[in-house]
Amino acid sequence: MNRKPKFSPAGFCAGLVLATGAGILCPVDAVRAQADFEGIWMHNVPLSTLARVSSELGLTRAGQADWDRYEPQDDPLFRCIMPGVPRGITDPYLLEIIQQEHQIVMLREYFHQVRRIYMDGREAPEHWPLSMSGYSTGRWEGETLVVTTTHLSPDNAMNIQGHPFSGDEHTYVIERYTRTGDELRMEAVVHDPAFYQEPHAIEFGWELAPDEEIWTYECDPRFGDFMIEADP
Amino acid sequence: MTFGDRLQTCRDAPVTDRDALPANTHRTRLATILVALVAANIHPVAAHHSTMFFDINAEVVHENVTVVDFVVANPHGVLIYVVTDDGGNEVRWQAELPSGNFTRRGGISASMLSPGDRLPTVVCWPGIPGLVRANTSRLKSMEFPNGDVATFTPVSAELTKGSE
Repeated sequence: MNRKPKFSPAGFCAGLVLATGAGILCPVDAVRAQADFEGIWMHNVPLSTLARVSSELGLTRAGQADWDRYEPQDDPLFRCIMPGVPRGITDPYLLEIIQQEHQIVMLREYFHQVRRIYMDGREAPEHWPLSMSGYSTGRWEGETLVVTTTHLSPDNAMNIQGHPFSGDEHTYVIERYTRTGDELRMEAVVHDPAFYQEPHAIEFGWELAPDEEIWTYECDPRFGDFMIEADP
Repeated sequence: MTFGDRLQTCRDAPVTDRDALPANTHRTRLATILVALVAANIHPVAAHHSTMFFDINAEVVHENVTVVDFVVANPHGVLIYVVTDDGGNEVRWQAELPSGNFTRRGGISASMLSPGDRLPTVVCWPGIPGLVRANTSRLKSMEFPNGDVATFTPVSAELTKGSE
């Protein structure tokens, strides 16, 4: 697959703007305004703000049934399975962002997660497999990065508390990232109509941490659930 | 593929800073465990997966314990130790640490303790029976033989020198 199209809409429209002075002829995305998100980021939001009372999540009947079956000791993190999307978009580990013309790469210290956000208009190929991180595409709305993620795994959870997530074909996540000074803010909405009566909103934030270094994250499942009471 | 979406805010849970340690804690000695059987799904501050298993409103304090093992690993490390109870019996406990990454960033490594070392004080959040194995807790702080003190939250560790 050609990841860098030979014809650049941005270049064409930029030229057209110069030639005609009529920028309104070009779609906003083509003459895109961008922000610089590159760097290493450290979360600056107390994790307690992410806590949700399950009774107030607005679960559907199917969502409530799934939650009723949930056992904390079944948390896949105990088996060294990475959190992915949506659960892992608010993890407390360092985040590094690398921006390229055709993709933005989010590297998370937590489980060495690599997440590619394709910026060149592509869509997921047919038969793209479901995964914990899904398939992400992005676009700019002014200086806001808007990320759409589909192909999400039903083995995932909504958040660190393990709240339900169906991962069916109707689930998707929209994230909006904006930068103000050295702060990065994310406003996300998780669409999961099978389990939630309304889209589920999540907010998080980071601050630039240029002196930090992303560490490796070697996970040893022997030290995941060794303390958890197993079912008799 | 384009999607319309509306941003909703649903801050319906009381917000407290889970990362800060509780201001008022009840200190108990040895094997006394105060259990608040609050189901994890209604605890307003259970925002970390493993803290759902521990009672953050209680404390267990053990003194003069003997280290059996000290592991710094991901997703969680562990301090295993033996403490003598009021009846003179040696009781084995295991206390969960934050991730190896957070622990090491706090200046704490596995090499700082060896089997047989004596720790003056170990303070933990007790495990919730039925969810964790017996004598299991979450490490809140521990004093090293040299007087240094390590303190922990679910996502951090800090080492304070004994001379400070």
